Amino acid sequence: MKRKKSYFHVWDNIWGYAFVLIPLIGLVVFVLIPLCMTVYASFTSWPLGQSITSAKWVGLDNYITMFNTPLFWKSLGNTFFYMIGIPIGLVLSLIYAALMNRGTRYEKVFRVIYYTPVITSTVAVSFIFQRMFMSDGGVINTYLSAIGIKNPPNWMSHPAYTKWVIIIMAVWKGLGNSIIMYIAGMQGISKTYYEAAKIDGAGWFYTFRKITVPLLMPVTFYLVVTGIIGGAQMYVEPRLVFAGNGPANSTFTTVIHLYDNTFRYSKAGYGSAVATVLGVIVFVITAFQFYMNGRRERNE
Amino acid sequence: MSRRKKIADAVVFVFLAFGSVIMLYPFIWMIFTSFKPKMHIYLAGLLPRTWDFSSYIQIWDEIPLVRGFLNTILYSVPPVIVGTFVSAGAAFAFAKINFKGKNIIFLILLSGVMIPFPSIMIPQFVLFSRFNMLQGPWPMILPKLTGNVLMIFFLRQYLNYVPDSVVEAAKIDGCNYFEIYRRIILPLITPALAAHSVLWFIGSWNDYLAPTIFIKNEKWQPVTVMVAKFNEQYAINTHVPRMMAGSVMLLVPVLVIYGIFQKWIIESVMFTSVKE
Repeated sequence: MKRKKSYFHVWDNIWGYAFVLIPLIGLVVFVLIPLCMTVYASFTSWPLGQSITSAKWVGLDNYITMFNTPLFWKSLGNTFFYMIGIPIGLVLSLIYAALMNRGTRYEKVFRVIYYTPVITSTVAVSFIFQRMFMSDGGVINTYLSAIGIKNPPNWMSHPAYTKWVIIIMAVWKGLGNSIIMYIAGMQGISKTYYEAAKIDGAGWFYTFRKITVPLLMPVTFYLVVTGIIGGAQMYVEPRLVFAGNGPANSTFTTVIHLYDNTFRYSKAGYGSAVATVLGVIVFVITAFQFYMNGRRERNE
Repeated sequence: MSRRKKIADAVVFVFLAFGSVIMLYPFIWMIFTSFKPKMHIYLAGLLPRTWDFSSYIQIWDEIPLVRGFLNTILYSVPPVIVGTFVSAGAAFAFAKINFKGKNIIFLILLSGVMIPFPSIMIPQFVLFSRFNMLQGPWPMILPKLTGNVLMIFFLRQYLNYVPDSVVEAAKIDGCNYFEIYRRIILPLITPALAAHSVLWFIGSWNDYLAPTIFIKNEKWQPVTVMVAKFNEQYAINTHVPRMMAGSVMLLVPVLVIYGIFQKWIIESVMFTSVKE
């Protein structure tokens, strides 16, 4: 009897490993090995196109150069500035989700409409926004003047506004996703909470603030984490909307800095240092979010 | 009370309808602008005063769109199908088979999600170059064949709601794990599988950064890269209708697929969010 059990156990192991082998190989070949190479290369003066093994070890030189490069700090600052879009998007989508989830007529049609930008190509959308925000004949400023705004901003050419074009576009494009997530979260909240609140005489806003918002925390958490991971990798939008780095490098991001140094100037060692720092930032923020979430769940 | 509710409903409806206009306006503007003659772009009015199809003729003449679409399909259909079955298999193993170290292996896989693509793209480029793949299609295909970690994660959650007794019963009937996977698990998770693979498909259809780095032979460029180049070229002399024709060509296939699968897609996103 005992022997039979262990026989099954062996087969469980074999089948288990067989099923997870391919994704594991994928992880090792396409993520872990490249990750180690990035970290190693960040300590060398490796020019792209040469073998990485023959690259000269330079210690912390790339990191020192990077921390003394104003453009790097600029790119990092811009990348974080774009993340203002995350709370804006969360608040807007929470409002829209609450409005869509009250048994509104055509609710499903609205969901489909609001989700449309999510599935569309960033490349296509970037060119549309580039033209809509032009001061010269762009529709946005035409409408702003029409509703009485005298001097609509020079969206595309003034460094104070350029980042907002990207933020507006990112919020517009991501809104549908967070709305759907919030609606799903709201439908998962037990009705008994609301009935109890009603008996206690709580108003709509009080109930929303004290029951709906706290119970949606896991969704908010998920959206913040994915928002940060995505935001840190911002590349296509600024590159295509501003056909470069924007006026006074105002739309320049860390990934653009990394791309240009590596693939345009062949400074793969320096690029790897930027890639390492970016990876560490994303990893730390995500891990911190997971930790906070875990602590909150334990407290509940 | 009922009257108050009716008014509230009307206000909400107007608010949501206004939002819908904002959501769809860029697409509508894109379509109408693409049919305008170049000289008319500064004229007021959304609709073209004369319908001009020359931007479409230009884009079809200038770039090998058919080839681009075929490349994009090659990068987003077969790899996603294979990757989906690989992911489903791994999800099944993580949810229903007791093998040694499975929790650790799962955590290691999951940690891969936290590593942003830009942090590993330089060595990936070097690896593909080392194996002489930069002139061909392989860099856009190979990584997808090994599955998608997020999909494994979501499908594993989904499978946790399938009772273990289903698997146990099949085992007693003499099925091995591959048969259980193929005959029982796959049919059970078909809706989730379809929805997730459609999302993944759309993601890889829209991919831009990876092919600009990994595809060095113009013949193998996906349609996103071709159109981006076309649009950038016409951005310089502000030929807006041509840029918009480019964007239309990129968006139409995705919008059609979305139109067909919208119910699945939205339900799947909702589903994964609830079961987390």
